[in-house]
Order: sequence, then C-alpha cells, then structure tokens
Amino acid sequence: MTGALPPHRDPAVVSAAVAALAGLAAVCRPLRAAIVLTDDGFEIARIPRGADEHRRLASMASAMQALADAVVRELRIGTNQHLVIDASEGAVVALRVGHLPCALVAVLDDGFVPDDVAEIGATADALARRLHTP
Amino acid sequence: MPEHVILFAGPMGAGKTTAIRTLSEIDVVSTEAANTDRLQADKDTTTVALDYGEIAVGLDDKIRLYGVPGQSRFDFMWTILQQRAMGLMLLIHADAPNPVVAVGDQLGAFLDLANRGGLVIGITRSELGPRDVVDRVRTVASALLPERSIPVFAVDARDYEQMRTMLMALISDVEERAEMMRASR
Ligand SMILES: Nc1nc2c(ncn2[C@@H]2O[C@H](COP(=O)(O)OP(=O)(O)O)[C@@H](O)[C@H]2O)c(=O)[nH]1
Ligand SMILES: [Mg+2]
Repeated sequence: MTGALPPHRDPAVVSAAVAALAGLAAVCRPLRAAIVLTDDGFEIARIPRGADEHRRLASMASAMQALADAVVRELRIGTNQHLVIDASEGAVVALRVGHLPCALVAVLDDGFVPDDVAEIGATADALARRLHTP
Repeated sequence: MPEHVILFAGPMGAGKTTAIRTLSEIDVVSTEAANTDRLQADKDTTTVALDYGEIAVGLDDKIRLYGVPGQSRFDFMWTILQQRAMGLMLLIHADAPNPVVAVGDQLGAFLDLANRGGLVIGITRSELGPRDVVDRVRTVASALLPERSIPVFAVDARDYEQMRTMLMALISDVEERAEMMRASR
C-alpha cells in the first residue's frame, strides 16, 4: 500500500485482494461470499462478483467493525480481534487485515467448522504481509 | 420535559461529530475509521456507524444525541437511527461544493423525521464559504417545506454556547411539534 491512491482505487491493492479472495474460496467450502474493504467502508474486492445482496456488505461490515471496536474500548478488554455473527442459517466473520486500514469479511453457510474460520484468518494475515511488502 | 432523542445529520465534514463532542456531557461513543478518500473531505477520520452523546436534563431526564455517518453508502444507518429520533439537527458546511443542493438532498433523506419531528438547520464553517449561504439555505428550506418556519443558524460546531442555543431551539420545536400532533389527533 503506497498511500498515493485510496486503497480501493489502487490496482496493486485490488489485485492482491482479488487473489486473496480467490485463494480463500478454493480452501473454504462453506464460503458464500467474501469481501476486502477499507475501514471506512469502500469495497476493494468481492466474491462472487456482482451479487446484489452483497452490495452493501462493505459499508455494513465497516459500521459493525467500528461498533465492535467501540464496545471493546468501553469495556477496556484490549483490542478487537475478530467479530462473528452467528445466524440460524449462516455466519459472518469480520477481521482486520494486519495493521492496515482494511478488513476481510466472510459470509459462511451454516455448518462451517473452526478450520474455516482459521482459513479466513490465514488469508487476512497473508494479504497483510503482501500489502506491507509491495 | 420527557426524554429527547436528537439526530445530527448532514454531509461528510459538516461538523456532526464535532458538534456532539462539543455538547455531550459524557464521553461520546464514536466510530471513527481512517479516512481513505481524501478527495471527499480532507480530514483524518470519518464516522462509519454513529456518534452518541448525552446531556442530563433535571434529575432523571436526558437528551440523547445521535450522529449519522455523512456518506450515502451508510444510508442503512440513517434508516435505523431516524426511527427513534424526535428532532433533526441538520448541519451543512458553508464550504461544501453546493450547500443548497446538500440541504435538498438531506431533507429528502430525512423527510420522515422532518415531517413528524422538530427541525433546525445549522450552517457551519461559514467563515470559509460564500457570504450568502445562510440566506440561500433559508430560501430553499422554506420552498421545500413551505408550511414550516425552519430556523437556520450560522454556527461553529466547536462552540459550546452556539451549539447549545441551537439545540434548545430544536428542543422547543420538538415540543411544539409534539403538541400539534397531539392536538390534530
Ligand atoms: N473553521 C471552522 N471549522 C469548523 C467549524 N465547525 C466545524 N469545524 C471543523 O470542521 C470539521 C468537521 O468535521 P467532523 O466533525 O468530523 O464532521 P462530520 O463528518 O460531519 O462528522 C472539524 O475539523 C471541525 O473542527 C466552523 O464553524 N469553522
Ligand atoms: Mg462524523
């Protein structure tokens, strides 16, 4: 990330995010959708592309993440590591991409296992390393 | 006076977060994220969910202050926060690209609240914009809501006394409006 362009318009950042999501889709079977976004809610990359119900996922994830951070701050319990919404027919997992102003959000079908969440974490870590060292 | 819920709306950079921090008597709950798009507004952070502050009134009543994110990609928060509010504090910065268009857009987005609750408009950063912004905003606001007389203030969101005066004008509009709604039922 060079900082010259906003991340969502920086071709190097976008292509790294696209590759990271494709890699995640290959190893995480319950993955229904995933998105890399800036902390302030701009979409950098998303799979599947163009699905209308995920159009607002970046801005919703950004708001959710910030509210979770506010709760963690209020309770003085360290830093927010990841956020899980466990719904009756699926789940949403959101976590930061290293120390970058970016996050990775995954929508999972019901029946996901802890290994799937671990894959999402590993994908975010790998993307953070890639973006730190252009 | 019963508990009041006031919503601060307006475009990014209008001073919503600043105004709530100026007015609140508690540490505000804020949801700022790094602003990655400096072309929109040249500031370090931007609100992505809400701001929340409180002012005590008497012994057990309070005014709750909610601020929305200014950018339309967060409009789902506008819907959520608008539902509980009884008054709208609309802030527009005088140095916005087109403050008059912004007033129309914002009144459109928060029309439900503007129609049923109190409404005041504050023009912030007025020393940085054209001189006639307050007058032009007043004209467009009364054209858009002809049956209302909408107070339009020039305010500095960083100034406690100015914000407090504007908030109190809004609270009396909220109460007047509630009285009218009761009478018409
Ligand atoms: N010069 C000047 N600056 C102001 C005035 N009112 C607010 N500001 C500044 O304008 C900026 C508004 O940013 P912020 O509160 O984050 O706006 P928001 O996007 O509406 O939440 C802050 O840097 C304020 O200090 C004013 O009357 N004059
Ligand atoms: Mg703000």
